[in-house]
Amino acid sequence: MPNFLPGADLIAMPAPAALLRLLLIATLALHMLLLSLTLGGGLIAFVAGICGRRFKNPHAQAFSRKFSAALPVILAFAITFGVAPLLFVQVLYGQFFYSATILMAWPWLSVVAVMIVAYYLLYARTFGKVGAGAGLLALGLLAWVAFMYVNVSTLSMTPKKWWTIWLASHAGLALNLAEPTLLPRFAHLLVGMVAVAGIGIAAYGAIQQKADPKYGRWVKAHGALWFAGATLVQLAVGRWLLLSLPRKIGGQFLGADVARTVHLFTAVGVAVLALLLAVGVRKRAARAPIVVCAILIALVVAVMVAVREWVREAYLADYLTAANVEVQTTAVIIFFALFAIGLAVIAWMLLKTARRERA
Amino acid sequence: MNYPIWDLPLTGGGLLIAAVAVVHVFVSHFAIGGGLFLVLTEAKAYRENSPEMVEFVKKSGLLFILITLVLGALTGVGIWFTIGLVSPSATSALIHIFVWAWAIEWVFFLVEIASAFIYYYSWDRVPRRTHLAVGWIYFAAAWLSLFMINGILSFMMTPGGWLDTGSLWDGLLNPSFWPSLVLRTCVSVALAGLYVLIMAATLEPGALRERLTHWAGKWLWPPFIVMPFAGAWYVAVVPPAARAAALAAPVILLQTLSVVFSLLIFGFALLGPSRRPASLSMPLAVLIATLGLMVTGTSEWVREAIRKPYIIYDYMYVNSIRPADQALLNTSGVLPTAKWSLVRDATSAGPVKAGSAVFRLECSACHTVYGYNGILPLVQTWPDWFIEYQLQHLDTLKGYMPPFVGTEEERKALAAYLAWLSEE
Repeated sequence: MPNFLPGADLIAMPAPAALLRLLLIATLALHMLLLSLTLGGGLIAFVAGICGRRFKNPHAQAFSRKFSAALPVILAFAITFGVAPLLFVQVLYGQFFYSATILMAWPWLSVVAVMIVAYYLLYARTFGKVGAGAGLLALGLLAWVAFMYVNVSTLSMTPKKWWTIWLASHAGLALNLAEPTLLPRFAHLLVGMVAVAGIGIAAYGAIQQKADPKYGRWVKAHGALWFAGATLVQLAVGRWLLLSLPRKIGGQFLGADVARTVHLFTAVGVAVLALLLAVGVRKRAARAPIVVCAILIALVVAVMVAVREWVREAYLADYLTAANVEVQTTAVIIFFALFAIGLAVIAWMLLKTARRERA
Repeated sequence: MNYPIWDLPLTGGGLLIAAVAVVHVFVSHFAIGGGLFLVLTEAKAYRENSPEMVEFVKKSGLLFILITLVLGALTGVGIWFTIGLVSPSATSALIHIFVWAWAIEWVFFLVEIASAFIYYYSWDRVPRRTHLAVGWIYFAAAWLSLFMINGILSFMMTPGGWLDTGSLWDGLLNPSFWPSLVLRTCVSVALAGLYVLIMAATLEPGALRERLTHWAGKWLWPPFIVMPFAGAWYVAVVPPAARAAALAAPVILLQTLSVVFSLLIFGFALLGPSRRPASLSMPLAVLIATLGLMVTGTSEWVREAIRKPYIIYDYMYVNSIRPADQALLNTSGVLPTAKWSLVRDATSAGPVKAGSAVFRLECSACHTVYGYNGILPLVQTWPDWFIEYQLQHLDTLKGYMPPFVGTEEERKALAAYLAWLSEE
C-alpha cells in the first residue's frame, strides 16, 4: 500500500457498508436516468427541432419545443439526485475521493460554475431569450461536467498515479487524461445517455398517444429509433470499455467471477431484447410494449451502476480496509420514514394538480 | 496530515470558501423567507381580493425560482466541493458524523424542489386552497432543511455532548443549535422583506406598490425585535474562548459593521419606505438589499473567526490537526507523519526546506506566503529570537491560533523558514 494513501476516517461508519452501497447504487441509478433525459434528451430534442424546421415536420417541432421547456425541471431533479450518491461516496470512499478531487481541484470546482451557466442557459432557452445554439452550448457544458466526473472517478480508483501528479504540481490542475479507460468510460456514459433518453422519450410518446394519437406515435417511433441506434453503438463502446479495463478487473466480468459475469451479460441481453422489441413495435399502435422496454432499460441502468460499483471495488481491493461501524439505528429509521413521507407528499401534490388539470 | 494540500498562493483556502459561502448563505436564507413571503402574500391577495397582487406574486415566483433553485442549490454544492478541497479531514468528519442528518436534509430538499416547481407551474390550474397548501409545503420543507443544516453548522462551534458520547443527536442538537436557529430564521424573514422591497420597486408608482412597500416593512419588524435577544443568547452559549475572540480587534470591527449595517437596513426601511411608501425607489431598494448581503457576509465571517483556532471546536484545529494527536506529533514529528509531505524529516533536508514543508502542513490553512493573510508582512520585521518565541507560545499569545505541533527541530526549521522569508 503506498505510504501517501490517506487513512480512512477515525470516526466510525454510521451504517453497514452494504446499506450505504445499496443507497449509493439506487440514488446514482436515478441520477443517471434523469441526467440521461437532460443530456441525451436535450440532444434528441435539439436535432428534432432542426430537422422539424428543415423538413417542416410539426410533430418534431412540437416535441422539441415541449421537451426543451421541461429540461430545466428535469435538470433540477438530476442535480438533486446527484447530491445523494456524492454523500454516500464520501462515507464509503472518502479518502480516495478527496485525494483525487484535490489533485484536480480547479477542473473539479469548474463543475459548479459550469452547471450554473448551463442551467441558466436552459432557462433562457425555455423563455425564448436565446437561440437553439445556446441550448446546444448548455448541453456541451453538461457534457464537460460529465467528463470531469469521469476524470475524478477514474483518478480516485488509481492511487498509484497520485504521487507523480502531486510531484508535478500542487496547483490542482491535473486531469486524468492518460487513463486508458477514460475515453471508453466517457463514451459509454454519453452513448448510454442517448439510448436511455431515446426509450424514455418513446415511452412518453406512447403515453401521449391517448391524448394526441398522431403526435404520440411520431414521438414514440422517433424515440425508439434513437434508442435502437444508440444501443447498437453502445454494444461496441461497451466492449471497448470492458477490454480497456486491466485484465484482472475486466476478467471478473468475462467469466472469472460467475455472479458478476451473469449480471453484466444479463443486463446486456435485456438491453438487446428491449432493442429488438422497440424496433419491432415502434410503428404499431400498441403502447404497452414500449413502456415495458423503458422499464427494462431503467433496470438495466440500475444493474450497470452496480457493475460500475463492482469495478470500483475491484480497483480498490488492495487499499480498502474493514471500517469500524457504529450503526445510528434511530437516524436510519427516521431517514427512511421521512423519505417515505416526502415521497407521499410529492405524490399528493402531483395528484392534486394532475387531477385538477384533467378536470 | 492525511491529505494533499492544494496550493492557492493568492487567496488561500479560507477566502475561496468565503466567496462561495457568502453568496450561498444569502440566497439559501432568502429561499426560506421568500417562500413564506410568497404564500403569505398570495393569501393576503385573496383576502383583499386583489388580482394585481396575485399577478405580483406570480411574477415574484419566477425570479424566486431562478435565484433559489439554480444559484442557491448549486452554490450549496459549491461550498461542499470547496470545503472538501480545502479541509478534507474536517469535511470527512462532518460527513461521517452526520451522514444521516445530511440524508434527511436531502429528503427535505427534494420536497422543497418539487413543491417549488409545482407551486410555480400550478398557478390558476388548481383551487386556491391547494395552491396555498403547496406553498406552505415549500416553506415547511425549506425551513426543515435549515433546521438540519443549522445543526451541523452550530455543531462546529459547540459540539457539546458529542465529544463524550459520539451521538449524532448530541451533535445535532448541540448547545448553540436553538439560538442559531432563531437567528437564521430571523435572517430569512428579514431577507424576504428586502426581496419584497426590490420587487415592489419594479412596479409602476401607485396603490399596489405602496401597499407592498408597507407590507415589506412589516416583515422587518419581527427580526428587528428578536435578533438582539437571539444574538445575546448565542453569545452566551458559545465557548468562553470564542466570546473572548469576539472582542479581538479585527473581529469586533466586523461585528460592529454587521450591527451598523443591520441598523441602517432597519432605519432605511422602517423610517423610509415603510412609513412613506411613496418614497421607495429602485436604487434605495438595491442599497438596502446590498446592506443585507453585507450583514450576511460580515456575520458569517465573525462566526468563522471566533471559532478559531478550531474548525470543529475541541475536536479539530483549523489546520486539520486534532488536539488528541498533539502529544504524539510532538514526539514523532509532523513531517514523518504527514502522508503528503515531500520532506520526511527536519534535519536532512536543511532547515529552510523543512520549515517550508512544516509551514504548508500547519499554517497554510489560514496563511498564504505573499497573498491573502500573507505571513511575510506579519513576520518581516521580527528578529529571529522573536519568531522563535512566537512559535513556542503561539496559542497563548494569539488565542485564535492553534499551538505549534511537532518536534523542536521542526519548530526551529519553521522559524528558519520564516526568517529566510523576511530576508528574501
